[in-house]
Amino acid sequence: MKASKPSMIDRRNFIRRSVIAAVGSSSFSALTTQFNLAHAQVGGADDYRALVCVFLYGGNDAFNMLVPRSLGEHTTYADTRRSLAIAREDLLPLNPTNSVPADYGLHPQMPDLKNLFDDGKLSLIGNVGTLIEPTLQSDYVNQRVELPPQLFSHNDQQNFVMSLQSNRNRQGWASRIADLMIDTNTNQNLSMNITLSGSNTFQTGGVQAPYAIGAGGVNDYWSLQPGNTEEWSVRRNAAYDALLAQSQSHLFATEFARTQRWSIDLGVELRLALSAVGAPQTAFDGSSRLASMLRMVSHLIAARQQLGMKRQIFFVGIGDYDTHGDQINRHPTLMNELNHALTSFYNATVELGVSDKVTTFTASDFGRTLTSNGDGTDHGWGSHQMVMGDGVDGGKIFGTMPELAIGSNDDIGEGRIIPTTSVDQYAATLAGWYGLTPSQIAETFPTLAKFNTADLGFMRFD
Amino acid sequence: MTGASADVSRNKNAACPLGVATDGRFVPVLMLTASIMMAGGMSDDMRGVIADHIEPFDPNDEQQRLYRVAEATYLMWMSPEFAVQR
Repeated sequence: MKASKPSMIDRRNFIRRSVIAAVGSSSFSALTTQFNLAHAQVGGADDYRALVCVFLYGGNDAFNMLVPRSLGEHTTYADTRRSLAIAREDLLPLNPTNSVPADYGLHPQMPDLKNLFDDGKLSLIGNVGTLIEPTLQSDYVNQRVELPPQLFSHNDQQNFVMSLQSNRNRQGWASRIADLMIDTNTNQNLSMNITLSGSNTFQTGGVQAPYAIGAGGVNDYWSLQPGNTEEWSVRRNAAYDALLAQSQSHLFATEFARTQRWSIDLGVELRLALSAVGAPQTAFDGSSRLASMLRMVSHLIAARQQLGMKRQIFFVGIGDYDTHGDQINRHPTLMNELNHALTSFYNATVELGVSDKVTTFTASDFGRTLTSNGDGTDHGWGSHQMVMGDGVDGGKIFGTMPELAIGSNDDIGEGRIIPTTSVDQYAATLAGWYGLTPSQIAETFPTLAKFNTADLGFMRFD
Repeated sequence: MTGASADVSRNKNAACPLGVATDGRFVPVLMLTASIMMAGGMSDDMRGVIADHIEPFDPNDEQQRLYRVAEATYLMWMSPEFAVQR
């Protein structure tokens, strides 16, 4: 069943040879032995780790997800946001176990995530965004720093968040991680990267293409139905198998046949594995697409041993976060869905006994403007993110929270907030927990060297 | 069908005109699909596989004739050779 992949082996060896041995930067040397410790754990008998990226397409208005509750800070926030402001008394108060400059609360539609925060299973990272180097307001105004390409543009910023590369021949950072850890999984047929949301930059560009699966399971060719024992299906599959087995005179046809063969066989393998373990019993909201996708992720994690997987990166994308209009009604609905879907997923990992081995994190194109356009908000820059799982140093707010006043030192206009933590730092911290060595982290996130801290400290390495 | 497969295998290098399987059978639907979808550029091997597959469908029965066309078109649509041409 395993297709021969001579080109893959060659490329893998090339990547191995190309690994940067050391990077003499200040941030690299500042990487703690925590990363070494995490990597030393790779290969244990029950060793399994998964990263689950929940990508909020459109640009989540996280300034209404995590909101200051201290009187002065909330007054500033309310003055800026006006009709979009959430009343102080409606916010769900958070009591972080670390020191933060003000009191904060979660969106009122997130009571279950607040409970996870209180239980130390979830943390928030403040004001994360795309940066190439640390950027102050004066740097931005005087054009003294290099900036990510096309700030405030959906496609460009999605691609940058997912790849952390400015060039056109970009490779997603999940794909780069998978290239470096490709031998960790015994099953080399199934990609370390699995997408529930189709093609994405995050997981593409490397040796292994991501495997795409639907919320309902394997995406079969409707007209083939491998495994169907009805005569028409058996005959049609036999004919198609014969077509795929033919030698081709064209290189593209050869590769097409190989990929089709691989995909069909893998679909059969996955369906058997999923069927063997059954889905977790944890309830998910079947009317929510996000919840349905996360339910399938939990099912795949349940089948990890059958599938021979020790490291997996899942991509789950959900749209409608581009709230230019009707934000007052749309955003609470989105927060409600996020609350239920993430909580159900966390509970499923507890049921499976892997809540310390699965870390879920949010990402988005960008944050949104603090100012209202009259009916919603426009494209911003910095934004808050959530990380969830028992591997997270939970119940804390990490990073530097911005001032929410128009014209503050964090604002470049209309409440577009300059990030104080780069996506590189955010991603590197997750990658360190996942098992990359310091040198691999330096290779995977080359601009990390420009920032003071490579490890934001929100993951546990014990 | 089994015999036809053996013939196809024996004659796989034979040059066949459109609509004719490698064992000499005349299969109009192959002529049509190979002409429309692949500009006539269908290999003999591929033609043999499809001819074998649609042979059991009775060309004298209207419903079965539809199946012949559907099956031939589907396999061609999914084939590596067509993937290159499209």
